Amino acid sequence: MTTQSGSATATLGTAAKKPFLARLPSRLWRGARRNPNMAYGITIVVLMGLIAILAPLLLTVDPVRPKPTERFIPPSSAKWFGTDHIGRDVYSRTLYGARVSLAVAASVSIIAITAGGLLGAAAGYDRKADMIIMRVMDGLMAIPSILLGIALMAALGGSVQNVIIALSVTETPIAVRIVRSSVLSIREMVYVDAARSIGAGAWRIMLRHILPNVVAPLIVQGTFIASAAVLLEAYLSFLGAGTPPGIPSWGIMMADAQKYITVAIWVITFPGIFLTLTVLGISLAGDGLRDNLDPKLRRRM
Amino acid sequence: MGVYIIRRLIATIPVIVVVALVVFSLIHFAPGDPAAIVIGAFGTTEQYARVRKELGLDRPLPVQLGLWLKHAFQGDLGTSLFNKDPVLELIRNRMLPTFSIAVLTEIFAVVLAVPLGVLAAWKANSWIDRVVMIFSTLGYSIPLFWLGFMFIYLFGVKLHWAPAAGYVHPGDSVSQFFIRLAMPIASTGLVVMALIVRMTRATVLEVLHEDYVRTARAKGLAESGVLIRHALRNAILPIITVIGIGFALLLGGVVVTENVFAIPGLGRLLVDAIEHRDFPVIQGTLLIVSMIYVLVNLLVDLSYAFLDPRIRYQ
Repeated sequence: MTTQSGSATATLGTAAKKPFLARLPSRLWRGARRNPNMAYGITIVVLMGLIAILAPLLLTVDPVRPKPTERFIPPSSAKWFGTDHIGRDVYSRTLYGARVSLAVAASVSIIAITAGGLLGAAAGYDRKADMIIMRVMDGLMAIPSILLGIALMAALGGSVQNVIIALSVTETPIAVRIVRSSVLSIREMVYVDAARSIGAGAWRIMLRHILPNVVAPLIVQGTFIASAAVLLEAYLSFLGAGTPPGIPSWGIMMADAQKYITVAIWVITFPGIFLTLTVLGISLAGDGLRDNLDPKLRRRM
Repeated sequence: MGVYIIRRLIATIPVIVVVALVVFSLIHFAPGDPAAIVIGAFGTTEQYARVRKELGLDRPLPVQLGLWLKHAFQGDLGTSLFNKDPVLELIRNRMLPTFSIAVLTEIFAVVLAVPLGVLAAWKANSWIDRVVMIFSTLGYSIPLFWLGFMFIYLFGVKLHWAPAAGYVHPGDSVSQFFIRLAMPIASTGLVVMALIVRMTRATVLEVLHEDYVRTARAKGLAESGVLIRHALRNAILPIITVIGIGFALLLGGVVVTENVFAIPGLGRLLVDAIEHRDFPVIQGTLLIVSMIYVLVNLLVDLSYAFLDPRIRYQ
């Protein structure tokens, strides 16, 4: 399985002239035209991104200011998503909540794939480093990520920055594994031997021949890490070990609203729907990208 | 066979050691002094000194590590800072609900997900396949505590089909035990199902393209025979692997679910401990749950040897 996908990406890499990242937009576009699910996924992610950026312009009010006279107002034409237990506007909070979730998702996925890329490359290239790195990664992966996440948050203390740190720790090992196995299979390829035989050094082989072929699976993994991070931020906040109260994140909104579900179900409903849509969008885009990068699978679909 | 088992057992040792190291160092990730965090802003100097001693922080780091590991392997996980109970006893008292939910959810998920995955692969690209895949992608995307609250609202508050939350010990009433666990299992199960459905569909789809499946069809074997005897049988290893890997997701899910449905299991214990910064309980729970996960994956790997003779002779 590993060798198959490895050789598939390798053929792609050698056939192409431009580096993978430069081809990514056109690849996304072509993939989306062929695969409607991927198109839906990208559309959702772009919309959520726009909501996060444009939140102040989208008829929102201050998302954190309580209005004690307007508690538990059900959704209506005036208050689209209703109000919560201290009279804050759920519509405004939900829209602003996209900022925290997307910022956490993007940060965690960038940190995890960077750390995963470096550690995975080291492990794939050096026996000694491999021993140490992979033992630590196996150990980290043996602790269920929600548990490791809340335990780290208990030690670090609640803040958005610490949520990003804790989730990066739980998500990096998967990226390390993927990069390591890609490096191990690519370094056995004939074209790497050829490069070595004409005198290319270890760094040149790494940068010119191995790295470009590892980027594709790593970016696919980055999308899955991003969707996991959105969910985990909510789980940590729900368990009281995540984003501190006061910051409008979807996780905190749902954690606050759980006590009032019998009187105000809408407060928990809307952030949940937005969160589900976001995770769904990122996953669909990631699935599409993965199928798109694996020509063997694409032929079959 | 014996060699395979021994090799696999030896491979588990470094994992356990690293888990123990991570769990030990957890308390030292705290910025500043963990003892100061434990006593909070209103703690006195005496309390501070006492907590430092209880946590063993007054000793040099290597000594702390040595003692912690020695005690942990002897089954002594320390005492709770909050109510002074031995951590192992606290954990033992909370095991039953957690593992009942975990095991029942796994059974529920496998029984539903494997047939659905086979069906989706068999009818690949049909509307059945699309519906199954949409549900599995959704199951993957919905935060399970949110789903749990939606279940409570719909089935508990609106329809009065089931009690909204709570837990009954099976010793008191077996039927109530199962009734109370129905919603927790259904909401946790959906997430685990999503993973198993996808893996089953993908591997069965791959096997269905093999030559021997074409041969089986060509010689006139009924489709049910093709699917069960040829496709599912050869797809079973990756499915079992994903069940093993998914067990971490399941354990994490149960921790969350217990806090939705007010079930006094390890998840509640952990969240209460986090509220009180009760580090020995946090560390103990983390260690025990991870050991169980490692054990489940060891059993999964050993089961390969029984299911696939090729592995025995490697």
